[in-house]
Amino acid sequence: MDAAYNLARWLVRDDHDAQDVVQDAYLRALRFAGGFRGGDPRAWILAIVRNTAFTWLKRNRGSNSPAEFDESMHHGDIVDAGLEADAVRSADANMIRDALNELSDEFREVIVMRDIEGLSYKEIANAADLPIGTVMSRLARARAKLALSIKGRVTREST
Amino acid sequence: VNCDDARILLHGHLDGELDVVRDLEVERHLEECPNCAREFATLRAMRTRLRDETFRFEAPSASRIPISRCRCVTV
Repeated sequence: MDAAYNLARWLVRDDHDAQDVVQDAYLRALRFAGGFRGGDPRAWILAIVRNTAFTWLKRNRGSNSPAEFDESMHHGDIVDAGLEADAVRSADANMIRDALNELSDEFREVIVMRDIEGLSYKEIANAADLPIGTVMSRLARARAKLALSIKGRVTREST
Repeated sequence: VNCDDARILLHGHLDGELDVVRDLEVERHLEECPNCAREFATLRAMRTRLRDETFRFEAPSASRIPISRCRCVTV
């Protein structure tokens, strides 16, 4: 399933490691198939991929667990994100890719799950074990950071 | 809805995740507030870009057949 690989690839940022995460996630899915409680099976698989990827990141790269992620708003995260749609439209795809890769794992995952994979807030909340309100506020911060980063790259490129 | 609230709620609005009442409140705020409207336009532009296929990684053929590698792993 391309979606599983796509999510894993964005989360661990390496082709080979992403393949390992997907294999491991499929094995977990087979083991826990009895725990599937209905709903969209794609979202269920992606939740397993997401959790497998975070376990992998913690074990191999020492990333903080999502539970330790600082959820509070910080000044500057959203304020002044007055963000220039034109810069986003004109940005080179590589700029956007680099900007996304530079986000923290917790910010990158919500953007990939929502904007690239199209999961609902509820599906993201289930996958990441977060309240739905936190999904929205985390998306807000993640998108603000991404937009500012893209804008910065476009500005640097044009000077 | 004030601007502080709107900066979060814009996302629910963009994603179609707000209830009808909240959604209308945000829409009304966007009509009245050029700053939030500009931010919303940016968010929508970013969403459009991110949905492009160019940001999807295609799985290498080997991982399309995951079961083939299961034989050596204890489940």
